[in-house]
Amino acid sequence: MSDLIIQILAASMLLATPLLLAAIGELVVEKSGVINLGVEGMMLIGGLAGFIALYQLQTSTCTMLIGDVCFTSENSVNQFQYIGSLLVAALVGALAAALFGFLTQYFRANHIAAGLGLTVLGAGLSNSLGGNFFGVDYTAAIVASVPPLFPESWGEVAVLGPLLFDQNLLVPFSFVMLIAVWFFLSRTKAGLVVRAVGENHHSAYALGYPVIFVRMMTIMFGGAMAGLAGAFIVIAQIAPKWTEGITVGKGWLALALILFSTWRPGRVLLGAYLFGIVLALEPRLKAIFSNMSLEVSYFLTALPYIVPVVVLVLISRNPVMIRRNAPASLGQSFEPRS
Amino acid sequence: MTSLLSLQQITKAYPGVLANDAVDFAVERGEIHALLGENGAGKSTLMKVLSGLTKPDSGQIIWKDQAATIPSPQASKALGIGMVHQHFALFDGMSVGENIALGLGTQFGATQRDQIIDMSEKYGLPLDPDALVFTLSAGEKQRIEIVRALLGEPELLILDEPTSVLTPQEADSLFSTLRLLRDEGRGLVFISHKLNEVRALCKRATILRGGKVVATCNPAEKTAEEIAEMMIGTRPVPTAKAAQKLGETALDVRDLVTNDLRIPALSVRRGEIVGVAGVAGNGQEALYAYLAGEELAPSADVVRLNGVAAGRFGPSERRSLGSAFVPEERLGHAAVPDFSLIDNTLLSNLGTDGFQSRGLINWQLTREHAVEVCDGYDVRHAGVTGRAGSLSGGNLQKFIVGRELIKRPEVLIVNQPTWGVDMGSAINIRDQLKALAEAGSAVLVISQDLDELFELADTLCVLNHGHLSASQPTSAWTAETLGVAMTGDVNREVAA
Repeated sequence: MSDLIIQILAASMLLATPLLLAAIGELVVEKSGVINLGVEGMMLIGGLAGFIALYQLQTSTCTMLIGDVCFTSENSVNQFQYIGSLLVAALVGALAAALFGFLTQYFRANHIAAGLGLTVLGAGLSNSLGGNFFGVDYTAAIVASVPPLFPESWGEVAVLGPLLFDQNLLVPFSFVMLIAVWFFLSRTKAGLVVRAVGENHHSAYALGYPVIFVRMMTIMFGGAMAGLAGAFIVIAQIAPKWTEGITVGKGWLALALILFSTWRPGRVLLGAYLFGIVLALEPRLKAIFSNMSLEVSYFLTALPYIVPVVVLVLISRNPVMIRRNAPASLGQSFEPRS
Repeated sequence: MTSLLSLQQITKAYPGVLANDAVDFAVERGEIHALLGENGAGKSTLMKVLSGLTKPDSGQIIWKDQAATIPSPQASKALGIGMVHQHFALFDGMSVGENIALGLGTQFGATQRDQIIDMSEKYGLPLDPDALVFTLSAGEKQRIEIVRALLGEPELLILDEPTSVLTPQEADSLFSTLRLLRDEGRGLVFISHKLNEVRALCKRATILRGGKVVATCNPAEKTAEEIAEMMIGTRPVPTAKAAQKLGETALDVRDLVTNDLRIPALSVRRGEIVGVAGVAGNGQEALYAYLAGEELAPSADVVRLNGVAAGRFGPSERRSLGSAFVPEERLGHAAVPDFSLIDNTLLSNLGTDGFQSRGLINWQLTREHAVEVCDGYDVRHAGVTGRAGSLSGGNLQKFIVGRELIKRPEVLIVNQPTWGVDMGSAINIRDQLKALAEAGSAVLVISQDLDELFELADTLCVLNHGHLSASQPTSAWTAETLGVAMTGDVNREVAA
């Protein structure tokens, strides 16, 4: 039984991490008063960029030189190559976000329209580039799996081994970032300024804070986190593999989580893991109760999307806390009054 | 002694308007200097120059004998200029302490908490650093602004209409604070519409009109009428409301008791103007909502309009009984900012004959009606197809009042008819209200402006913490008895 629980928890970490990464980034963006609906698009572009980078790093590293012929090892990736590809994913995500930032902050485009545009652009661009990027068809490219962060023997330690040690680098990173973002927003001066810009951009400007600069920074941070989330799905969640539209709506789910968690980092974590756990539970329940009716089976499939929303809505009903945490300038373009 | 601040020949033009035309303005140390002028006279622009929000086209800023530029709000703060904004520059979702920390450019911590408490005790500005701003009264919000400005150790403090939301008692305590600051040798700029306050507080006043300095005087040596004349050019003579025989009761409220209101009795007769005084946040919004039908009374006979039990009627049904309503919020409640004046005219006329037939709107009539409202009530606008939000406060207020008055309602309920409106428009609106009552309508005015109520109302009552006092003829009240009734007894914690 405890094995099953550990299995489910370990699986839920894989499922929750991309959600958590994307949501943490977008949380900071929204706290600064910007709503970027392009999370899904940035995840796709970032994910593809990370995959391409990993493929290139792997194939360009010679393990053996015989004459002029470079033999690459196609069945191993080291941690440095993986981190390098993640950096590329984050950078490309941030660049895609910067495009959104320029449109919304400098040209005062409507946030919703620009965000939806970014999602469409991300989906389209990743589809076409994934099929042919400088002559390589990445839908057919083969990349070796990323090794776990810790020695494999640690992951075999009884009970908690698989949970603590048999994990991808981004899993602990997502927790570190969650705590860092919580600390940043609630305990640092810069975080206070970010919240002030999101709460009332006119007041923030009148007090001398650079509203547009702050928002550009948060937007790019959000893009970088979305890029990482995409890269995790493409590279680490199963085996490295690029297929079109691989994020299947996780970006939208991340956006919804922020809303239902009323902009509170702890609740974003709760929502992401509720989703992960229920999703991980589903095939196992179906395996155990193999004679369940079709209706129940469909309901189980829908459950991961229902449970986090219901739970978060039920625990986040306090209007004072919503007023306290919801950024009042969300989605409004800032134009200095002259 | 040299001036703390001297502005020389400041000129700033906006498209179509010369907001400041060669303005000279100087403030000494240890002086409370009044800056007077109607809305649009250029006060705000001048203050924006000082707070670094806008750059003058030409002119010089001399700060402590040195030429200075103020390119940004930070630069203004760094020079030693503090600003208390009229529309509070506060973050509603944050705590008092966080708001103050943001003003200081620090993080909110234990040191700031002590500083805030020290400062608020020293200057008589009680504040709880942990309270959330959106739960506070206007007076408390203003204290945040003042403490925030003072913690920056400003040598020059600018207060933009600081008393517009305060009770007489709160205003008095603010004046003690300001005198204390003056005696410490700071310079203060006091912007106000309330000339009696200016005369009590200031030894020097600069008066702006149409972007130019028209006079500098000692306001204590002038009468309020003389100052007003300098501000608006011609001597304002509000027409006195003609004494007349009052008709039957047109609006009658009995025992309206809800969660936030206790109204034992309130009635308005034809030809009468009844004033409801009170500090903002004491139930004015709720009272208005129950009278206008935005909230339904517990039972129908609680609110009677022309004898009809209307307590359970919504706004449209009440309008069809010959009543009309003007809410406090111009933008968002009375008018939709992004709609044209034509659209906004339609909004309160959907039930009026002719504006629609079989679900289709008669745009021709609506447009003509909008033009009629604008012409008849002196609404200066750039075309009735323009956005309502682009009108100045005074003109928009004249529009939304005119939109109702043109229907000659038998009962008019109006909440804060001249709040934040320039003096010329305010006189215009008050005259219109008086004319309506003289023509035999019943008018109920809910207002925070005591001068306005004394001018308009035949009968006055006071709303305090949701509780409405008994009505008395206006002549039986004084500003003092009103002030006490506005803050006294009714289980309200009086701000120290």
